[in-house]
Amino acid sequence: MIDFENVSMIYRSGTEALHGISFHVDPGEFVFITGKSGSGKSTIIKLLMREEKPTAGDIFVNGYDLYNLSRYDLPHYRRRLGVVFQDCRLLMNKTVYQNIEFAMEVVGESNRTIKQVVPKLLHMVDLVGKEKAFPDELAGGEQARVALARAIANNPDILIADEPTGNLDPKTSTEIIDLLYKVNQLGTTVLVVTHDTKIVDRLQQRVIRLKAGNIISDTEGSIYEDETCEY
Amino acid sequence: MKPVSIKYILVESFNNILRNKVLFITSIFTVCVTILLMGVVGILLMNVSYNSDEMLDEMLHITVYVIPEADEKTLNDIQDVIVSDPHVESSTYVSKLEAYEASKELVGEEVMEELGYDFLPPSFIVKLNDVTYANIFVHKMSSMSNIYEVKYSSESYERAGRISYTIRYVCGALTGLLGILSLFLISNTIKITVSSSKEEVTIMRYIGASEARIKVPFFLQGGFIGFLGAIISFIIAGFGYNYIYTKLEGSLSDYIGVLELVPIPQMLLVLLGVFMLYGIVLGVLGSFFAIRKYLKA
Repeated sequence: MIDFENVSMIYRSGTEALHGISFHVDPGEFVFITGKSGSGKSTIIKLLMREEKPTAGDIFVNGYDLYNLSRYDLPHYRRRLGVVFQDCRLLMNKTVYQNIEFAMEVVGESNRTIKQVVPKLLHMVDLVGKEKAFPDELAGGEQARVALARAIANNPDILIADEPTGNLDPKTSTEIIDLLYKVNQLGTTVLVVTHDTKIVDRLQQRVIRLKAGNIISDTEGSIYEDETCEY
Repeated sequence: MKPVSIKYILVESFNNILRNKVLFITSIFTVCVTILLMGVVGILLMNVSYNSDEMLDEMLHITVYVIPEADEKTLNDIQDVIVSDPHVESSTYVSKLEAYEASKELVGEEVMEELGYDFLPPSFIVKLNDVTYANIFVHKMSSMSNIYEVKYSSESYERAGRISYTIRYVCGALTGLLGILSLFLISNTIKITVSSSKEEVTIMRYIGASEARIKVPFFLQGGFIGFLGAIISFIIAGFGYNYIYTKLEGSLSDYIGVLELVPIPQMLLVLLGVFMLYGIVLGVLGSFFAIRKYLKA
């Protein structure tokens, strides 16, 4: 599903973000990518989103060679990804319902499908009754749930969550992580980029730890060892 | 494109408009003013051209007189030279007898009966398709043997040609300048709409929307600005022309010579077509420049 093969990334500014890292993610896996600021977490997301091309190495996702991905194929590739951003990136001029509907509209889903899917998503993320609310009328956790609903609206193969609990209190963080786990249980591969040790501990899933652009550990089903980390 | 996509694109274009109402109205107004200015120039040009076409039509005739003694073979040779010239639109042969009949009306039947028709030169009335070629043609025919005389109003020819070309160049340049101004204004409006939709566009790209789906609403918006600007200017120009035409009773003969105004239906039809085309093309082109610069993938 996801293959990073000796991937290095040096930005135009000269910053070396990744140093020949390799990892493989199977379909249906739940993977945490952790590390402190500057470790290369965000770069991995940028590469997965194909915002950047690696300086060296190959990345294969869902059968796409990301280095050689054409401009025509890029939208098709991205339709198979769902992304939850740390700042949610909701459209403030659209209601909760419209934010989710928007994600489906722009990829050409029919009105009938939208009307069937959006209520189910709202139910799944426990936002029934908030359909007509605007993002600035919602609490942080609710906004994160809208962002999650939007990310999975097109039934992606891979869900990438970038610091999904970054601005949330512990209780809400737990709710969001439980939702991500629920999505994973429905068959979606989930990659969560975080430095929140508690949520990593809670789920006991695979953890890829980064430090200064290198993978320092890749452990299956491990409990996160807080004391070895410098966050 | 699926019907749902078309609906989405139309709704999105409309939302873009609603989001920037003031800017949208300002753009329509400026496009309207620009098209109106162009329209005024166009109306003037059309009227001058309408009259100069009629004048030129008459002036473009050159009469080539052949010597009265010319035989049929000579006449045929001269006709071949005239007809084979690419600048000749048409030519009509006037025989001695036809000239005789025409002269009877001019100088009287009795005089002509006494003189007979044998002394009259046969002629070719030639119509050129290019006024600037007149001098060359006259020189060419005059230098041929068996040619008695070549007649044409050289001064009128040249003046008409000069006026016609000057008007076309000046109006063309003015229309071009106004067009550039409109392009700049529309492009600026779309640029601001693009800026205010930046977050939305970013999310659309992350979600996997195609570039066409992202960009088409902006093109439509530009086209719509041009279309509305054109409609409003057409209404104003139409009413204005109708008012002037009615007031002057279709002619400027009381003021400047024998200038006839282009009839209203003919003028409205041309204005509608030109304004629409100009407005929409300007709108879409303006959008294109803004999108190319500010919506890079």
